[in-house]
Amino acid sequence: MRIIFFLKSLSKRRLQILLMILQLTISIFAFTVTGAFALDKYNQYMFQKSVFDIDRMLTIDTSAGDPHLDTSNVQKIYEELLMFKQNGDIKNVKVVSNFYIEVPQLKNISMELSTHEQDETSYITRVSLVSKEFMKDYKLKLKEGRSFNDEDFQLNEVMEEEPIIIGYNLAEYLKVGDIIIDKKVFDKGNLTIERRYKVIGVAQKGSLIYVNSGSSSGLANLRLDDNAIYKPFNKVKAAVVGENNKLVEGNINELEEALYVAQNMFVEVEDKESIDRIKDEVERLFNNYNLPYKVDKHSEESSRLLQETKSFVIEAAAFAIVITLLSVIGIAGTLLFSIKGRFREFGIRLSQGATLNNLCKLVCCELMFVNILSFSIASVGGYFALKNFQLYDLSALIGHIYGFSIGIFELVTVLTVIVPLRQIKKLNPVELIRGGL
Amino acid sequence: MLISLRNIKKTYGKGDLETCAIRGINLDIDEGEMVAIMGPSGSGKSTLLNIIGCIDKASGGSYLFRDKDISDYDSKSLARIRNEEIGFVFQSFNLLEEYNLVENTILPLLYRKGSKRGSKLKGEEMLSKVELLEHKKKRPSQLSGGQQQRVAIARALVGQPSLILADEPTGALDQNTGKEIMKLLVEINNSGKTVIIVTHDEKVAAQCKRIIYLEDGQVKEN
Repeated sequence: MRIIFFLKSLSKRRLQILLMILQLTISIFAFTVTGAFALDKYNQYMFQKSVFDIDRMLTIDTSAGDPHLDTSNVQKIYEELLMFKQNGDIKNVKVVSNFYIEVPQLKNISMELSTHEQDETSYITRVSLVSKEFMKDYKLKLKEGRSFNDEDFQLNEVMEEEPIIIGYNLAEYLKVGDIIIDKKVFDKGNLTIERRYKVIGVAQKGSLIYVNSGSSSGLANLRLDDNAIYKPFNKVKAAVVGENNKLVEGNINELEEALYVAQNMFVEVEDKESIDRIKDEVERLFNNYNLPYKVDKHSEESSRLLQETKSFVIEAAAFAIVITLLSVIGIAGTLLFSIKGRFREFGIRLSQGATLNNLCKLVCCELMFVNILSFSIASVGGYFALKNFQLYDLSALIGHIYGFSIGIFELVTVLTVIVPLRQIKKLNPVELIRGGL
Repeated sequence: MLISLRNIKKTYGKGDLETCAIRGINLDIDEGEMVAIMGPSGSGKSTLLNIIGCIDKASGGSYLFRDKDISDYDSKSLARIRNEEIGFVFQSFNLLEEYNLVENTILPLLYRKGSKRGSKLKGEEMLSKVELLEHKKKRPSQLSGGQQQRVAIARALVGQPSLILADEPTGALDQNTGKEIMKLLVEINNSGKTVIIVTHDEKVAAQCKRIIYLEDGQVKEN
């Protein structure tokens, strides 16, 4: 009964209520979206710091070079870098590359790929090829199964079943021991290459990263990814050019291939060595082979990212605060305006036995209703807006932001309602009931 | 005795600006009486009605309601008396447009403690008494002035109050409709409820069992 009275009372002032909902929704939305971005950047930065010793790492930005450069010498550079390792200048050279497979089991988490020529849609899933060095210090936490061992990284002969470690989200579709098959058709159906992958481990939530190849900024493009699949570089079956330029089944060394296309490389410098000196040497090495790749200190890049994050958080917070202040002023003003137009209604209610406290409660309930509705709309809207961006674990992220937003908007509610409630408390019932009527 | 006013005074302002609206009124009203309060503008009729209706508090004297001195009651206790013991009928009906007739009728029950179950039935029963049940889903603006005043009377009765206060109940109505409303108020009085009407209309006052004339804040004739 009370609810019907309440809703009908609201519906009488629907324009004012809509205006308040709009103001609040915009500010909650701004808070949620900017907050989620800021938190995601911070989380990503902290995760990278926890997985790698980023203060001793150089990142080689392969996208800095001309894509038409002759990259055939990267293999030689890699071998020279390994010499650095033997000399005790560097600890590791980590190489990461990506390729795509098409397996029906993973259609739900795959990317859609339309091929105009064949007018077909295929669903492809990204696989990260990782070097033994990449995995060496990687703090991989497994939910089940095992990590890669030395045998998994062998490059001598083709393995019938290539080992893979899958991200936490993929455990919904695959389990340890499962085999997935990727068939690729070449030469208009004349050649089919079938590769088999065996799940040997499932990573814990938030344990795998995806390295975006061809990035403009190495560190910024290391992202947490529970949909990731890791596979060691191996010798594998592939379509190679045979006699008469026809494609035939052959073998390739994935690491050599990856180096040829110059995928992401990270150089980990020994503790005793000067990172600046090694940086200069690595740069010189690339220049010697006429490959002007950008070599960055990861720590510098992380500082830049951190600074960027700080600036972003400050800007986002300032924006959200301004929006919130505007909505506080707007809602308080709308409420005050609404109260002034309700003297007759208040007088009638008082004459029927209401107290000034009852009127205050009514206004508070209406504001709570506005807040809850605005919060719901902004939350759902924020969630769907953020879904379009690559934010890690959006549900958890948004949960944190909503928790914060609820706190802020409780404060907003209190701030907005203080002035109107004081005004109601100052109302003279005699004037309202007699004069106001 | 339902109402007993002893040396009731009401002043507004302070010092040189002090205005005396009521200057020591003594008045007793029994249960079941039908009383008209008359007097020229500024005689203190409205102020007296405010005090009797627990809307305003007297500046001096004592107000006994059912032999209980309520002069010093706080606003919450006075609101409770307004809700449980008094039904108001205003000249301009004062119905809320956003609610239908049943909802307007049961408005006082909304501010009563306890379960609201059965409120709707009570509202319909009251509307039936004022012969408006068939219009129960309508909004006040869809009714004539006389019908709206009948809804206001139904609202005044729904909480089973012992006292009905009517402030110029026929003031906004034509003569025939005014007669109908007065007939209704007389019926209510005949059912045992005390009715106090503030009016300028002598024909209305003539239908009451007792007439009190106020002048300059005092009872001139009782």
